Amino acid sequence: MAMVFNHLLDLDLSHYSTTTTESTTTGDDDHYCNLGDWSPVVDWDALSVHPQENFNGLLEFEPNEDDNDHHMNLDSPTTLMVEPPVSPFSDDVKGLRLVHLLMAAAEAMATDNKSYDLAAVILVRLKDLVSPNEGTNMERLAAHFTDALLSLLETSARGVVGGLHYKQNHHLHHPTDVLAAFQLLQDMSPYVKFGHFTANQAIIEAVVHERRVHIIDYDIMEGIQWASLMQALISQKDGAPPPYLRITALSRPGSGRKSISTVQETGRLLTSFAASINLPFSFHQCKLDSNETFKPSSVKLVRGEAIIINCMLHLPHFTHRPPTSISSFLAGARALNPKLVTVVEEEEQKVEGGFVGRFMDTLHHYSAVYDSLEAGFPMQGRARTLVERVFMGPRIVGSLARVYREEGEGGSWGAWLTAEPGFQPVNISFANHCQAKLLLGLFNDGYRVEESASNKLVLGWKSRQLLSASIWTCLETN
Amino acid sequence: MIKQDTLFIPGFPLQETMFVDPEPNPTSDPISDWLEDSASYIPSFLDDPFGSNTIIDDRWWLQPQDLDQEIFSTSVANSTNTPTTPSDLLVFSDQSKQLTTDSSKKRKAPSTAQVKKPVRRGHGKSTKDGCNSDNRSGRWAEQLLNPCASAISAGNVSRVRHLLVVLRELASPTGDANYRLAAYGLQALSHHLSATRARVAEVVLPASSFSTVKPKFFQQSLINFNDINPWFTIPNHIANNAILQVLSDHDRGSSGGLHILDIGVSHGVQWPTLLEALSRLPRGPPPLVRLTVVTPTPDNTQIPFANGPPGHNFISNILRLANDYKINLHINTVDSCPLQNLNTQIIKSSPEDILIVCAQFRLHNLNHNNPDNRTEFLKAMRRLEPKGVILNDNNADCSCNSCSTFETGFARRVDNLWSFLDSTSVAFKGRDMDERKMMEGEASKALMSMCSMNERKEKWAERMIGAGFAGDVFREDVMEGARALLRKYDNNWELRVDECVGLWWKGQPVSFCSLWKIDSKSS
Repeated sequence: MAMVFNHLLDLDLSHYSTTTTESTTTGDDDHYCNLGDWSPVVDWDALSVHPQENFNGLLEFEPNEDDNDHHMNLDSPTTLMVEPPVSPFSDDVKGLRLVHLLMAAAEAMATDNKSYDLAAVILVRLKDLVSPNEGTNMERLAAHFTDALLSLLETSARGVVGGLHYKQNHHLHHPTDVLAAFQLLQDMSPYVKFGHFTANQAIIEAVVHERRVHIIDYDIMEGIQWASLMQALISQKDGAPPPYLRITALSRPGSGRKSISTVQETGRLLTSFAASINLPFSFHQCKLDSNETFKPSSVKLVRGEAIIINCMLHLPHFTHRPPTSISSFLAGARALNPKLVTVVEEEEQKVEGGFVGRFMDTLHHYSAVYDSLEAGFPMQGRARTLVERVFMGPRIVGSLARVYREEGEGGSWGAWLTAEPGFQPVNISFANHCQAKLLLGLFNDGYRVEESASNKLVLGWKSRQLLSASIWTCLETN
Repeated sequence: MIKQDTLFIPGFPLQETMFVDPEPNPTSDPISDWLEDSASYIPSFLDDPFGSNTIIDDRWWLQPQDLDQEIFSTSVANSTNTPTTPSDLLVFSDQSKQLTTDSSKKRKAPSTAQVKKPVRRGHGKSTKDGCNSDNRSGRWAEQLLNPCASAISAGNVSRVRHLLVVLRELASPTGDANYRLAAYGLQALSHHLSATRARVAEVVLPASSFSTVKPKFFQQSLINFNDINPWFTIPNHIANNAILQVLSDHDRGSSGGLHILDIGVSHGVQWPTLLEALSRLPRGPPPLVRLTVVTPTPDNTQIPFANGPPGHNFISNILRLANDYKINLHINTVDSCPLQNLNTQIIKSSPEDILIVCAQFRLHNLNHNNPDNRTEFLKAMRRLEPKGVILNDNNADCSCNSCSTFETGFARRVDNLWSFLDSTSVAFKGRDMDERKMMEGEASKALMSMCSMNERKEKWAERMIGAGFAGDVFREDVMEGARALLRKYDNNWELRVDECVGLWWKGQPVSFCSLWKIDSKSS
């Protein structure tokens, strides 16, 4: 069986150490990273907002449940304040303070009688404490969340809270920054490759005897996923000639500026790459209108080709697509009778507690992402800061805005597909699963991959699930 | 009917009185003696020459260097109704963010001031303070403090911790009223939590209060505060004029004197103006004026504003002043008698005297449940057979253990403290000074202990009636004087008059002033 990941060995990761259990501290970069005894700054389980708002264990203190009246047996007021449980690092204490402040700010904005003044005061204080370019993970993360809340506050409270001169300055990045950040993201974490490799492996397995393969890609971005697929198609071991590959990429009006490259450029690159490896290939675009409704009839089909639907959603460097666009695409895709549908998306938990609960969950999510990057590359603080600034920051802003406006119930597209008639799950192969494990092994052992369903692999950092890849088919027989 | 002019200090005093010599001259200027020079003053508000035929208390606290202009302006004008410049009629609105850098030049129309017409009663609600129309949303400290108190009541440990962390991050003893309220509230809540049932709650004193400062600083600060915030000034003013009113209502016997029972927090600041007015009475002052000052008992150190610094003694100064006014004044102090135990013997009252009880901002401390010291006290007062009782106090719902839960009581006291901090912030124009810290620290005592229990004026009225008193009315000229005086302060203050007089800040009740006499039908 052809293994896609043969080519992994070609990738040059030599300049990154794969064992990161030792870390040395420097002045500028973060020093807080002892993988062996990595204790989270925040106990996230405790912070998830349950209806009773149970924060037991958040601070090192025995809650005295017998005290129902207002006398609590505390020696002095200072024991109520945050004291670090084990670690002597004051960063822990500060991180915890930041979390409390963020939560209070979210609460102030979420209540029915919106306390904009309180939110503004808290956010001003937060801005004083943090910067997106310096400090610990928690501090930089808090800086992005603070900015996100400030922009929410400004739009919601316009005219009520005066004097919030907050400039949104993170949406327009220099193109070289974006490219650099993307490359760093790829090199420092498995987030990009996990989705690509899992999908590609499933595709390879599905088209093993096909002579014509037609991939319809929802969001091709820079197209790097297909470079590795093409290589894998060429290198199939049994000597059979590679199939004729067509890729149709959806393109949207006016999106060129934000993405790393335009769809046309991607097409050109892929075409020349295919030519260089002698893979028969053609590239097509399917232009969507401004409300992004997908019409299956606008895709040119060739008789006898195996249709693959590829749907990479909301990877860190992707733009957020509105749910209507995605559902229109998937529903329309069904009409094409695809042999395989691959969906890679951010894992979201279903969370109680309204805006505050989802806010805290989002904080947890990105905290895990930041920690995963740091764990792998504790010395590369500036590189991580760049990635955070270019990709994470805007994602956080957008994410929170959606949460605030209560768009979407946080359900996954995998669940949508399960419920939607016409889609059957396809098992993740053993090889695919192994490949994923191998990939993660190149990074840090904090990453986990698990099969959460027969057709779904989930990538997580420690206990937090981050990204999932699932595969489906619309054919009645596989 | 007593004519206005004879009863109250006319509005032109300076030509005739001790301020002829602008140079500080100890022998001829008792008021300047009273006032000692201080460099760090915020000068007093400009006088309002318009319609001021009544006591304008703050004249008495003018700095010597201000007197030049004052004399000049009033000697030029034939009547008090002509301002020398339009800028005389300056009322400073809530511009707490704009700080004037030069306090001593305040009389010269600082750019932050706006010219405003005097505010009439009922139109006092200001929209110029930059807050929302819903005042509450700008009060963010309470949005953390009150939920924390609720969480404490509910035993929700983690929620309490969360809110305390946030409060700790935000609270600051400098900054605007919200930040300070957060700081004091946080201290109060922490203190509350650290007290256990087994041991009595320790007395917690704020860092700066009346008892932590030197007497000289204390006196100057109190005088200055009264200049810029009418919290005590107006009740003192009304009380003094009410004393004169009651005095004028009763025929003086040949040997009868005036006996004032002072249960208050003015630390002597109230009395010079009254002495001056007494000296101007058409029949002269009463042959004997007795002042019995009742101080809190030694174990009672938590009543806000009630205890002066150690070593502070205003009595000798007042006596000296009385001497200059040629008033036969005797001062007596009662310092270890609980209020409800006062009787004619202890206060040494004599039936020939016109006894007037002046109770200001002390009675809220009396318990009214088990034991019901409040009723006991009022009965004791009734037994004294006073010709008049002046009752001025906080107008707020009771926050004692039987009238409210911890969280409601706390919220009420926080609400009351907010008015003090907010109005003081405006008065000091947002500047942080030791004087301000002292006053605010003293006010914050109300949060730290259960001392300030308060009661709404309606309930006080019920109690008074129950004890055998009947409501009396302040004369219209008393009211006019109070209104005129209030115009000199921020226009967020208003006076509302119904059966008594209420002082309101930004549309919320702060205190009330009421006058009582013996109900002739009661024994």
